[in-house]
Amino acid sequence: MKKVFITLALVLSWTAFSQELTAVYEDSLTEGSLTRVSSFNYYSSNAFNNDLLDKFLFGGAITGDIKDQVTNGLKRVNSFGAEAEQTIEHYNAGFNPIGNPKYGFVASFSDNHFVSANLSSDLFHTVFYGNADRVGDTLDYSFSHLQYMHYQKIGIGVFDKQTLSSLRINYVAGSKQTQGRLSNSFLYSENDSLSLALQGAGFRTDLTSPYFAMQGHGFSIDLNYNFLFETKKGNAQIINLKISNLGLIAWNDQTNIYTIDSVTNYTGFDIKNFINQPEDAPSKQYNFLDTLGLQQEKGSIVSTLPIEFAIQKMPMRNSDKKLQAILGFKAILTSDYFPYLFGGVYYAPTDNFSGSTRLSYGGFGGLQWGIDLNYWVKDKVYIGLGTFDMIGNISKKYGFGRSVNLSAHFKL
Amino acid sequence: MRKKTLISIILAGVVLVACKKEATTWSTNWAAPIAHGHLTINDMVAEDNAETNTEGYLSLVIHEPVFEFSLDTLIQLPDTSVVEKTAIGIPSLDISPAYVQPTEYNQVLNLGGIELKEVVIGSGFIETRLTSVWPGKASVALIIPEAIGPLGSFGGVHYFEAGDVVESVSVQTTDMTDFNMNLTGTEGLGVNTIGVTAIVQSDEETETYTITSSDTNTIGFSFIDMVPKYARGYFGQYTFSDTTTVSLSQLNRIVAGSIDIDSIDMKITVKNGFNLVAQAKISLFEGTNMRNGSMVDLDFPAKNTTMNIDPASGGYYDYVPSEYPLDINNVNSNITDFIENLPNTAKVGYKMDINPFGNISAGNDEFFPGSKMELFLDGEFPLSFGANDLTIVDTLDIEWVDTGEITPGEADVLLNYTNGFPMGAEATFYLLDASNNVIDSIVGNSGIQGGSFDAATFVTAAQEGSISFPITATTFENLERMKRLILRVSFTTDGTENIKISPETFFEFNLRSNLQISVSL
Repeated sequence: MKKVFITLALVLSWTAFSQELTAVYEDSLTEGSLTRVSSFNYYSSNAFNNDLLDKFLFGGAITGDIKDQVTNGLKRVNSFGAEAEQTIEHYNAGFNPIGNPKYGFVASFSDNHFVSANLSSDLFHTVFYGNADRVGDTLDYSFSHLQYMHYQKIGIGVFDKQTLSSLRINYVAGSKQTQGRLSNSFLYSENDSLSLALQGAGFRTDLTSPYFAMQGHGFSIDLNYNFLFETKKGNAQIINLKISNLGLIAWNDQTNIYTIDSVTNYTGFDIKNFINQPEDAPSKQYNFLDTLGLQQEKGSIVSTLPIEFAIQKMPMRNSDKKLQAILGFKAILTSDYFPYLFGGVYYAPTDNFSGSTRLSYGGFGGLQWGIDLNYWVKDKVYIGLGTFDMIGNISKKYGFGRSVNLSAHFKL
Repeated sequence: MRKKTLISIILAGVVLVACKKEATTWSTNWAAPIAHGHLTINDMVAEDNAETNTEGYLSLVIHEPVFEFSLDTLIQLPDTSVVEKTAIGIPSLDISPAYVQPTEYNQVLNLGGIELKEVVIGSGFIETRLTSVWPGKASVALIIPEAIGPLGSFGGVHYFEAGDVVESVSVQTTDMTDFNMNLTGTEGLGVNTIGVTAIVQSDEETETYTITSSDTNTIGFSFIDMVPKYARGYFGQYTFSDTTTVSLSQLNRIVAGSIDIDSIDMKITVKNGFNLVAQAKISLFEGTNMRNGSMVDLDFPAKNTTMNIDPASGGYYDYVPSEYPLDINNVNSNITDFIENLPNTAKVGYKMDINPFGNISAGNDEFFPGSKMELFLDGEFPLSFGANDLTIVDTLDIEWVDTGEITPGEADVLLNYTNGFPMGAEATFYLLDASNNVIDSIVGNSGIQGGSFDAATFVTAAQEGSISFPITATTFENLERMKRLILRVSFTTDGTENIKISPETFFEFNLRSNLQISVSL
């Protein structure tokens, strides 16, 4: 039931509209206000196709064929990532918070989920196949990584009424986080022994519920800068620069912090420990975690938010050209995320409707094809719907994730 | 219309994601070691129970008491209370502050047929309870001069308020551990008698009061949990005789087959740790194999013969039990037949007389700390035998651990071994439910092959082999229902001659599994 509520909340939030669509620069906001709601949701992988991922989302048996197909496509770095960001922003041109009439006031709230993971090929093999076919071989788990964060941002700031550039300072309420990373780790299997080397560290916040668990506090700065210029031919152009999540969360002192640095050799039980023992011999208990040497302690810990950097050439709604080029670059500072490049075209057949399509490569996934549709109602209401991964949305075999973005704004 | 379409899409998404119709499952295959070992006879029996005999192969040896009893159940100081009443023998007497009246008397204990002269107490207490009805203050110093403990003689002073209206009572409890008590009384000639000294005084500073012959005071002793660790005296005449059935539980596990034994050499020693004369007789030693009803009566030279057991020698600190050895071997008895019958019960008839000739020690029988009467077995069982389908069954109580999200599918448990014992074995595991019904079994694809025995050198050429125990998914389901596991192993020795086990004989094995596991999330 709880799962249903959470999912319902997430999906209903998609009725909002995303600033993460292929953003279209519209116009200045010199008076009145603008309220924007958006929903930006995707999961993506460069190695795990939808056949596999759907089994985790919708249930079902992961067959040998599914596993084999994924295995054939595994790489040195096998990334999986996901983001679900639901945002509401309010731009008010009538309120000048720093006394300069050039700048208006902006406030925002967002709920953010972020997943970033990387499984080594051998870790995937161990989890989904076991070790029976790799006896006499080493399964290398080094540099596998998992990170999950859930947090909310409440921000206030100023925006440039002319360009809609903004600078926001956010209070960050940390809901929950789990993170772990292995360094030099492997499993070596022989017929009569197993050697497991584990070296790594991680932490897990104490509570898994409620949804807004409030287990950490932090701050972040978001910068959104629109650079307007003209080409030699006099065509207006705009370059958008975004730096988001420049901040951190301090998790409370109930956070479970784990470290491990051990080599465990397991040869089975020595029968001598069980036969011919005195009747009053203490009973033997086997504690797996103790044997592995996993160290656990409670304490507070500080983690950085997933810093995002993006630069893109945006299409302009009021351009006299029906066809405009779009291109850009995005990076999230996590080891599992590759530089994300995209390029495409924007087409506006009428004043109140436009669409765009783009090809992208990188991020948590590989090559992706995206489509956006935009619709305006009398310059007062905007509705946008799009995806960055159309192939993933329609294909299980060739898709490596899914993406849905929705956005809307209302001018008052 | 657009709004309806949007809502429809959203609801469809909710249904797709939230209503995960079934669990995510997949199968994995794991190879992991389970157990290993290198076993010799010394790993299977205690090191003290295996020796290399003069012929160069192993013998099982036993040096341990098989039956014992002590006399502490006979020599007891039972919980009892004795009360001595005192009064003056004249009509009245004025008690001035200077009044002092010492009194000695003997307090006799009723100990039945035992006549004790001396005891050392291992544990227990004496509670003294004195009452006074004298109309003035008084005190009584109560002393047992010949009860000497670590801090001196037993004694204490009891003080009384005037007891003419309400009886005045004084109670003291003394830990008697390690008290040496002479029980010959004040004259030193009695038995079971405590010599007591009571010194009665006025406790008034100035007042003189008058007592009469009707003013009766009491001196009471209560023995509480008094256990002697040494006693001297005459312990009385006793005869113990019984026919008792002993379960040989280890042999209960043998359910079929036979063994052939070369020789057995046993010595049963009757040890008397008491300084008294005793006689013993073993009248019956009968072994029965309850599985087939076969019974063998063990015959040996001392059977039905009355044995005179001499007293122990030495004293309290250095007593030495007397010993009466009985040799039983395959020359003077039918012990090999007795053992080859594989009895799981033995019926033993015996008689023992304590002090059969009366008080010939003049009251100087002694019971020492820790002394006992025992049958001590020294046995040598050479590991030279033949076994033909000798089948042993053992039952283990099992509590299956819930494996949660992980479900075992099928497994192949592999046993790789090197068998240096000149015996082969077949093993089967039976799974029993809570009602002890067999619900499944696990059988290997072959037996353990025995090594080849060379009768000239006693050397066994080790045999290597591998056995697979397939476990199906159904068997795993039955393992969850299982409450008990029966292991049935049958042994057969190499060749037709008896084999001998050398000290170097070993069994080395490695048990591992290929296990299919289904994960369900």
